[in-house]
Amino acid sequence: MELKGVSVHYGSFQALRGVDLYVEGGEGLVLLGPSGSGKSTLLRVVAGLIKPSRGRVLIGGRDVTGLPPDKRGVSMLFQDLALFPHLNVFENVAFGLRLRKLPEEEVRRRVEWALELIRLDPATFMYRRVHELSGGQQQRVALARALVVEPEVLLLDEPFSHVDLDIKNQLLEELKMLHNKLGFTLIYVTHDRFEAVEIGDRIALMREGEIVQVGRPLELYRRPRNRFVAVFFGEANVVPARELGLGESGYAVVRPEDVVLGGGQTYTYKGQVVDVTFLWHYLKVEIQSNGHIFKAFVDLDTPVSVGDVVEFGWDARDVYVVEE
Amino acid sequence: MIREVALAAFASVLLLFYVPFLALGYYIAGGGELRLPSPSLVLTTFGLAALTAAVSIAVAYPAAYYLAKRGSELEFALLIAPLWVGTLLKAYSLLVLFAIVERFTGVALWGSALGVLVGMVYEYLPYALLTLYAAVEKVSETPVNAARVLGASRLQAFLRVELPLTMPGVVAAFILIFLFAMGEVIMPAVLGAWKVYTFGSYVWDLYFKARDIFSGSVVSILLTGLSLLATYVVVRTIRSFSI
Repeated sequence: MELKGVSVHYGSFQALRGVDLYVEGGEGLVLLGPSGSGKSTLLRVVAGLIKPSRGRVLIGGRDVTGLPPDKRGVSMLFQDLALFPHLNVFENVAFGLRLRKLPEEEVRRRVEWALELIRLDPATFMYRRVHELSGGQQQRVALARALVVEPEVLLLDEPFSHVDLDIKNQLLEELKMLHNKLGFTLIYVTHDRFEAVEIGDRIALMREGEIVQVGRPLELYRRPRNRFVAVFFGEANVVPARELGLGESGYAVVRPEDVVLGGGQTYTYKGQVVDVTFLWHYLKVEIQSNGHIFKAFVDLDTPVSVGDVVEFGWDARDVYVVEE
Repeated sequence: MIREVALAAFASVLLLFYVPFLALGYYIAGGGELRLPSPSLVLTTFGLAALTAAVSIAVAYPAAYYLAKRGSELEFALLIAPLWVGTLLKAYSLLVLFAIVERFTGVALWGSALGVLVGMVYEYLPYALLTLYAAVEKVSETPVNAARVLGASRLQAFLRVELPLTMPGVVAAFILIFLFAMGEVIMPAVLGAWKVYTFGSYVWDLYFKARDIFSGSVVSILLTGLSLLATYVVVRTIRSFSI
């Protein structure tokens, strides 16, 4: 799947500004970004639901820019539940198969296959009406409906944002398994970086209609291209580089887990602890120093409390300078 | 306060039925000859009402669809403009139009069932339009997009998803118009020139020409009963198709 210089205009508003993107067959790519960054628009361009004002879309090497959504070999999961309320579970899943005019026998076999795939017992659920299902079950059916047509590319637009956290994690886990098992290309849109790292081999970070950086999660985390990436993709302490004597322009980025309490680091500062929060795997300590609040993730057993004056710092290799 | 108003309204409805039921009692006791309408008249009325509803919906659906998707307020206002004008006025203005049509094409609409149908569709189109507009407007884009991505062409997505989802609106429009049209008097009288004879015309004649108030009231109860029964049958039929 490839996008070449794709732009989308809504009147004078530019939703996408010349986006280039290449996704390997079978890869899992996440489009991550704040709302309004154009990630959903990009997904709709791939699906064929939005026509780009400029640029080309290629799927499997074939130029599909001018093709309608039904001729692209893609499937899509939507944010708001898009199940057909007038059809039962079986007919929802069978929808795409019926359009392909498959024999009844085949339709039935594949619907059962798809329902088993997403772990809904066909015998129990096949003839349920969709409004009798829970949110999680509805999204499972939507997934089955999208997978039953065996798409080359599966597009997901924040599909699990309306389900509970536990169920969401379970669904993410299963989606990942299905992705590995069936080998379709997966493009997943979300604004949640935790979700993004669960599902993505690579992540494309978007802002204001542009892709700011594409890479493996660790690359984005360790080598952010600019301040936006550093702050949006993980927690970070960001200080103007000049203040640390690291050059005239740019910002110095230090991840909170690299901040160490106590002296002995390349860079050591003094400050007062203003907040300590328990966060399951670590304590989050906020230290005020030189007019900045620094965040440090430290071991749970660290003896530290609000009001303490502490020394803290980091090694030279843990700080990197990025542009605005 | 609201309760008192509701009670008063209900009491007046009871009063409305008082005379007809009194009349019914009068006939059951063998008081006189009840003048029932002929079956062919009943059939004409039913046919005309059902056809009016069906044609109104068929004409209004594309317009409502267009309005819901990309229509402007002005277009909306113009399409429901016939509501601003009284029925009688509409009927007489159509007479003028019919005369023009006859002058140029030789087709005589005045006094024909087709002419009455045109008049009734003209009268009830805005109701269909409003009901269907609400129904189309309510269907979200997502199911339609989902259908498209699953391999449905624009037409298939409309027929398999959008149309079934707007079916409640179609049923509502049908009931509304059918019930109005069953009791229609003015259009058949003016445009049908008393040649297209409906249930409504018959009741009118019983009251104001034959001065047979008792028969008139019993027949109007009959009309109400038949309308309700027909609506029930029609709605059940449409429903069984849509799901």
